[in-house]
Parts: sequence; C-alpha cells; structure tokens
Amino acid sequence: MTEKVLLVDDDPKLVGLVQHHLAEEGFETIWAASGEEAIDILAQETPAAVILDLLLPGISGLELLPRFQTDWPQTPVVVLTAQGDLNKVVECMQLGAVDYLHKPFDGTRLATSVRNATTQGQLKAKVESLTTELRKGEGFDAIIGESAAVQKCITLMRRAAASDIAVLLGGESGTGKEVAARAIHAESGRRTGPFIAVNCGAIPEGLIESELFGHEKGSFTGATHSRAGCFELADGGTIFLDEIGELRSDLQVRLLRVLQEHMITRVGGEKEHKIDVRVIAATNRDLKTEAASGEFREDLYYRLAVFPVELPPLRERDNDSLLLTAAFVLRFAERHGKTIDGVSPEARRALQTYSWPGNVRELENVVERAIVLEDGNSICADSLPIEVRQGAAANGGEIVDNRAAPVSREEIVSFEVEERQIILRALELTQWNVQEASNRLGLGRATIYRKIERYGLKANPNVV
Amino acid sequence: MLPDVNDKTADRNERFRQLQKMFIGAAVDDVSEMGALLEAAGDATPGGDAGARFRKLAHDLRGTGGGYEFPAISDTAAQVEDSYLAESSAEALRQSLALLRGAVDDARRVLEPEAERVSE
Repeated sequence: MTEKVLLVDDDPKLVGLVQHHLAEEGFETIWAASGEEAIDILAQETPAAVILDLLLPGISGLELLPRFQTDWPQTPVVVLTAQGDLNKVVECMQLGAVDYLHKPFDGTRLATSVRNATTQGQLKAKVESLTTELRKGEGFDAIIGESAAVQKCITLMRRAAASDIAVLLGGESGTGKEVAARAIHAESGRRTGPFIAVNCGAIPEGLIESELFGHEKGSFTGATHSRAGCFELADGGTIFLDEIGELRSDLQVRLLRVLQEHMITRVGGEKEHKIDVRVIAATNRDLKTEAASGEFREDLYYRLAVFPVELPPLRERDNDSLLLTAAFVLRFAERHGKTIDGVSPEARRALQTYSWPGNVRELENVVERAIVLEDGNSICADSLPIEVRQGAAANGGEIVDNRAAPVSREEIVSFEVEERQIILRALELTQWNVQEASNRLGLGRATIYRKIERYGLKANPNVV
Repeated sequence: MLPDVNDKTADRNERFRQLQKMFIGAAVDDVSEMGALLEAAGDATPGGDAGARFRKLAHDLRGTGGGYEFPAISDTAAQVEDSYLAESSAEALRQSLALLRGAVDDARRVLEPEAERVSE
C-alpha cells in the first residue's frame, strides 16, 4: 500500500516539487494549504509523515507542532521552511519535530528525511504496541477478580499508585501481595524505574543487612567486592519489602533512618548514598498490634503504613476462584502442552466452596497439578487434591466422582506426580520453611532437600 | 494541472521539465504582482496587507527556486525578502526586484529554447 505524506504549505508552487521527489520514494503526497486544513485531513487520514512549513496563514507551523504531538503523536513531523533562524530550529525540535530542512531543499535530502521520519514513526508505533502488550500483564490488569472485595482493593491501590506514598500490604499468605506491589509500581510514575523485591524473611540473618544496604569490599569475610544493596538498586523506582515483620530490631532502626533521610550507608562504608525510592512493604502478621505491644518498632510501622491496604482472602472473593481457575488453566495447559478448555461442574463446585487457606497460591498449585494429571479436555473433580474435594463436601458442596467405575489400572496416577505436588504445596504453604514443612509431612529435612533437588522445585515468584 | 506522476510513458526528466515550466509560469506572475504592489505604494514601501503579500511572494520564490534547479531565483528572492524585512527604501526594493525579474527571465530563456525545438 502506498504511504501518504501530508504537505502543509500554502505555496502551490511547492506541491509539484515535493510530489515529484517523494513519488520516487513511493510516497503519495496530500496537500493542505493551511494549518486548519491539515487538522481536518489528519482527523480522517493517518499519513506516514507530515512536512510542515512554519510560515502559514492562520495557525502557524510553530503553533501546530505541539498540537500534532498531542493529537497525533505517532505521526512524525519534518519542518520545512525558508527561515534560517537557529533558534527556530531548536524550538521546532523541542516541540517534537523529527527533522528540519531549509528551503530551497535538495530533492534527495527531502526524500531521505521523509523516509527516515516514516521509519522512525513505524518503529515508535511498534515499540508502543509492544509496550502495551507487555503492560497488559502488568499493572492492575494482572490482578484477576471481579468481586467487590478485590475491586475495592484495586480502587485503593490506584489512588496509592498516583503518588509516592508508602504502602503497607496486609493479608494472609498467598493473597497476591507481590502481584499487588508490582501492579502499584507499574501504574505509578516510577514505572520506568526498577522494581526490587526483597523477602526479609527468606534471607539469612547474617546477610540481610548487606542485601538491603550493600557492602564495601573487605567489610566482612567473603566481601571480595563492593556491592550495591537493594535500596541503591531500586533508586528511581520501587522497593518491595516482603515479610517486613521478620526484620530484626536493629535493622528496623536502620530502615527507619533510611526512610526518614533518604540516605544509605553500605556495611563497612562511610560514604552516604542519596536514594530516591518508593517503599511498598507487606506482611501477613498483625503489625499494628505488634507495634503497639513493642514487638515491632511503632515509629517504623507508622512510617511504612501511611497507606495500608488489606488484600482479602480468596474465600471472601465470591466467585473469583473460578475466574482465577480459568486464567490458570490457560497458562498451565499451554505450559504443559495440554488441550484443556474447561472444568467439570463437580470440580467447579469444589473449587468454589473450598476454603483455600493458602489462597491464590494454593489455587494456582491445585490447578497446575490437575492439568498435569488430566488426560481429558476438562478438569474433573478426581484431579483435585482430596482436601479440596473433602473440604468442599464439608462446606456443603456436593462432590460426585464422575467416574462410574472403580479406578482402572490406566487411571492410577504415578506416585511421583502425587508426591511432587504434596511436597511443593507444603513448601508453599510454609513459605518455604523446610523445617516446618518436614515436620508437618513427617519427613526428615534431608529427605525434603533431596526431593526439592529431584523434582526441581522452586518458589513461584508470582504469588506471595 | 500537475503532470501525472503515474504516467509510466513519461520519463522522470521530462516530468521534471514540465514542472519547471509550470514553476516559471507562476514565478513570472508572482514577480509581476510584486512589481504592481511596489508601484501602487509609490515612493513608500508596501505596508499592511500589501506588504505582507509582497513579502510572502518573495518568501515563496526564495523557498522554491533552488528546488526547481534555479538557484539564482532563490538567491535574488532572498535579497528581496531580506531587503523588505530590513525596511529598505522603495528604490532599494525596486532594484532587488529587478534582479529577481532578471533571474526569472534567465530561467525562462533556459527553458524556452527547448520548447521552441519541441514546437518545430
């Protein structure tokens, strides 16, 4: 298809010349004799580029440039003028022109400039399209749910995203606190800056200070190089401090100073580094009560909880479990190469009525396990863990085993698949506390570590 | 009427020559109009709408002459426009306009022999 270029110039003698040179490049030239006419044309057509004279009757080219940037930012503008004022050149480029040509122009130069402008415009459109696609998975679009409870949270978080206010996300384990933190960052003015997540409960005590604040070379055994900490890495962006309640008291003091003064000093260092970081913290503990009782620093609590948001447990989110299930089915069916496009009525009832103590994370694991187990094209109740089926029955949901015959030899699921899911679920529910998981499963710690290595288990970063 | 750039039978040079002839025709008209504006102003330089029109005509010839491969038209038109913007006297404007008229006539003579050969 022939690309069109809009020439905005009131001199009819120029039209033939521009048309002649651009035709050689495969462009069709549309002509507007005034700024007003150009606006009318742009309202109906999308040229690949605009060639704009500055000296026009009515609206001048300089007045038009900012309007083009606002209303048609995808269309690159080449300014063509007989004026040789350098200040005008600077002004035009600052107002968004992509190139500037003096009249009388060389035909080859004009064609090259327009070709470069159209290529730049296409690249810009492509980048914006890809960015939009990428951002579909970020921001509040990543939070799946139509229930009043989750929509209320999203409304609050949108307000928080519009400023740099410190946010404290509360809620049970597995309610999606990290997803929420990422969404706030992606919708904030810091979206182009870094997002650094730190799990204050997962990092060994001896390393957490260095992890947060960095260290200088030689500051401790093994510190062979200086290293920036997470606060420095998050400069210009957002730091997400998960399980903030696990932070030991001396580090709470240090963190408070950082939040007050916006300066950090690395371990073993003397130089202060200025930082510009927005803080989002999360906890599944009752930090307010702990602050009142002295278990957590009260002054730090109030510095972190300027904007508290409580994420609801899955059991309080109406039918969001089904929406989430549908999303997880799509994701895991593709990942595991399965053709699964639905959930049986019995399975649906179980998923809706189970209490989900592990919340969204548990649901995600259950769905993935079911996808792996299923041979058919829908998830049946039999593919759900027994506690989900039993829990649904206990809650009044009727679970019917839709296999009329006893389990046949072919329907026996491999022990390894079952074992893998049981161990993974236990680790997720205990936030990867291997000791606790081993205690609850009745297995030794060494056994759990062997299973982790054997099955290649790792924490899912998308669910807190 | 502009030559059809999609006319595959006309080669590029011929199309451009046709454009040049159209340009010269318009330039002759423009220079005549500028002369009329100067004459109407008498010993003064054209002002108000007449002055704006005078300047615009010079400005446009300045911006297009070289593109049609008539750099002298651009150069002399630039002198006219700059002279007007510098608030030169009417006489100075007449002199610079004469140079522009000469450049346009020279350009027409360059094109006209070819037209005579075509018509022979």
